[in-house]
Amino acid sequence: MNWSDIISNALTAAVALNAAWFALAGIGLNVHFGYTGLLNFGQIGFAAIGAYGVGVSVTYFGWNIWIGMLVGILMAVVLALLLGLPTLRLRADYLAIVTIAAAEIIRLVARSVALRNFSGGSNGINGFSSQFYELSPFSASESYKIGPFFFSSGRLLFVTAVTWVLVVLAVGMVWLLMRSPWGRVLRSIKEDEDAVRALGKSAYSYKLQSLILGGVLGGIAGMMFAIGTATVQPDNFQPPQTFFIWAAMIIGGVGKVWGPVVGSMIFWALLSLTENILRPMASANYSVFGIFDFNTIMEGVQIGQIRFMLVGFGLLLLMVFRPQGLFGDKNEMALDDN
Amino acid sequence: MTTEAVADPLEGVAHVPGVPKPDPVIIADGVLRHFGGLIAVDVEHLEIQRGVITALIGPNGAGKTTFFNLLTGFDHAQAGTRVYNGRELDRRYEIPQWDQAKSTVIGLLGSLIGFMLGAFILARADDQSDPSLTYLVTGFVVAVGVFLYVRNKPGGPQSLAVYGTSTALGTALGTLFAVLVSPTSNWFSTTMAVGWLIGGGLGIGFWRWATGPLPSYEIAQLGMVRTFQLTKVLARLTVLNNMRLGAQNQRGERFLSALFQTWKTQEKEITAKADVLLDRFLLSKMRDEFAGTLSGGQRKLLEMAGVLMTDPEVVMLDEPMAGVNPALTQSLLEHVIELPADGTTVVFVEHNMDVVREISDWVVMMAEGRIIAEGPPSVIGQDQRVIDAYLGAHHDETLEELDKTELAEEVDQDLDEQEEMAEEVEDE
Ligand SMILES: Nc1ncnc2c1ncn2[C@@H]1O[C@H](COP(=O)(O)OP(=O)(O)OP(=O)(O)O)[C@@H](O)[C@H]1O
Ligand SMILES: [Mg+2]
Repeated sequence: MNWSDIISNALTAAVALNAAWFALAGIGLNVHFGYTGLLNFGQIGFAAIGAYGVGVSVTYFGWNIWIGMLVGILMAVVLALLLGLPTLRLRADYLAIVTIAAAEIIRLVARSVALRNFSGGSNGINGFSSQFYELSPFSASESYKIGPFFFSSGRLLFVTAVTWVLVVLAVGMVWLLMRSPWGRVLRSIKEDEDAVRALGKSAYSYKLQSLILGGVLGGIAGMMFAIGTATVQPDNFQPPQTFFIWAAMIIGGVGKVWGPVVGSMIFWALLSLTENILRPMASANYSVFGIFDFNTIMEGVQIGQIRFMLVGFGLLLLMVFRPQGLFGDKNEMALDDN
Repeated sequence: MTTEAVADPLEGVAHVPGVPKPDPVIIADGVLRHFGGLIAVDVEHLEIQRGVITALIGPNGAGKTTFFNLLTGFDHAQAGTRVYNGRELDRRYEIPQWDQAKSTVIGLLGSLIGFMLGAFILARADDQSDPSLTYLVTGFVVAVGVFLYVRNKPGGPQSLAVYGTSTALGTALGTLFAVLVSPTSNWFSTTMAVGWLIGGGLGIGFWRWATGPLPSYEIAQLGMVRTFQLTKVLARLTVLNNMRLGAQNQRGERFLSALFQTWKTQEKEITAKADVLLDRFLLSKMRDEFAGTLSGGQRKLLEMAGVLMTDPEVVMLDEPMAGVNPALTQSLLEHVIELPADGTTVVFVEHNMDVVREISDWVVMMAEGRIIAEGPPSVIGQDQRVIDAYLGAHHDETLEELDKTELAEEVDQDLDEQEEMAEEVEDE
């Protein structure tokens, strides 16, 4: 593999469906954590509930996909209420515990044998997305190459484009909201809830609103991911995914409108870069000083893990040298509460 | 002191702790707050007169801040009632005072009816063989459990009745939810369990809401607004945004208005109001800086200005002058003195007796959680108990009165000692 291919692959990864739905989920997480200070460690649970919402609506209830998407959004709202109503009065860590548990519960329940007819068990759900692709102007059998970006089918191009449009809409919405008095209350809550209460605002109600908004964005992200892969797989919604979304948000800059978008593009580009650089090394018998043979320490399967290690190391460096993320404001970061 | 021309509303009020006032805006009665064995606040009775400046004094740890927290809903007392502007703050709704037996019966009946209603809806909707008996039994067990749970809860037996009926409603709703979501499928009972949990949760929530105290933010909305001893400003918001946050009834603080940008004109009015206040509090220069860059004294000023943005009826200031430079203190005091002119009541905690004498119309003295003296500043300053408890042995000594030669001698002695020590060090 030559360098132009490697670069082209990385650029494609930066705009691919994965980056797009991560960006959308990240924007939701940013509403939670970046603006309101809510510790949501179960964003993937919102994505899962959105994905299952649409999948089950179409395959089990036989509704059309647009109603299914509404159901998915509604389910995300319900999940936010279930998680938020009991915990948002309590200290911040309660929400963290509940979200991380809920995300796993959703996945385990959905993949359980008892619910095989309903949510497909461990096989997941297939065959619910065709209605969506009927709208596609691109040919399903053709692959598309637009500049350095490569899409293996017109369907993929279509769903990716739609997801990016949603990302832009979400960014616009968050931008409008966060410079409004509503956003001002959220940002104040992140700093000091009591100060907000003392001025006559219900911190609880705003935290709930924030949890719902971010959760719905996570739900829509999961839906687009499911439609894009034409399947809802329970094991696509494992806990590490939540932390990848966190990583993407932190790379871009917490509390910055474009932070999660740029962050997830970089995250996926980095994964693609490391993969494409490491893989040929592993197969080509490189060695360092004749001691380390790359192909013994990195067999094909291990490359997946090693690239995450490298990305993790990169994150570590970022935290040391630019803790505010790429978009963050250093001066704002330096204002410690005192 | 307020303008001398107006008759003093507190004239003729006796100088004894807990004395009734002609027009009280706050009435605290039997307010008790202890932390484990330590009694922080134990106020038998206190009334705060409307439209005057009341100072709350007392030594460190007397319970002043805790009392502020209790009045404004930032902390909850173990006993007692608070009335603000004629409104009880400890109970949102007055519940009929039934006796134990009557409310027990009503409570139990209420929850039973709820669960049976649930079972009835079930029996109608469910075409499986005969599940309704199971549901009835479960319903009964749950209802009794609920009864046992609330029987001894604080808030008296009348809470039980409210709780029972609200759970009943909640459960009926829960069952209805189950019927609607999955009328015939084979995991009806799961849905119903979820429905009951949600219904029961709503019931408990409603019970606590209806019988519980008003939360702090609602008390603030009613016009009683406080500052904190440890200043709270929002460091990552600009000074101007800190001010804007104080404005009440903001359209833009509602989600849809925020999204559809229908708040711009109101924001302009709010900004204008904020600018006037910032000017008065000498913060205009810092208007667009992060509040985190302000000095300690400036933060005090900003916090107080932010409180005034809410158009409060009662302003509660916890040590507003602490850390503010003397020149600014004077202007701050002037702002405080002006407040009663438009009917605002001021309660403030202060350790500096000069300040207390200068601006307050009435002084309340706390020690070890109790109110130990009340009266106009001229009288309180002379009260022996106040002198003993608060001002300490050297209360009437000011710096000038101390013997100057004595001081000079002391200083000389100190210097000598230091020199000796320095020499010793050199020898080694
Ligand atoms: N959260 C708490 N937990 C335990 N004890 C507390 C708590 N808050 C206050 N206390 C205790 O209650 C007593 C009253 O404290 P409070 O802060 O009300 O005093 P204060 O009159 O405001 O004193 P200062 O003039 O120093 O501000 C103190 O003995 C304090 O230790
Ligand atoms: Mg105090």
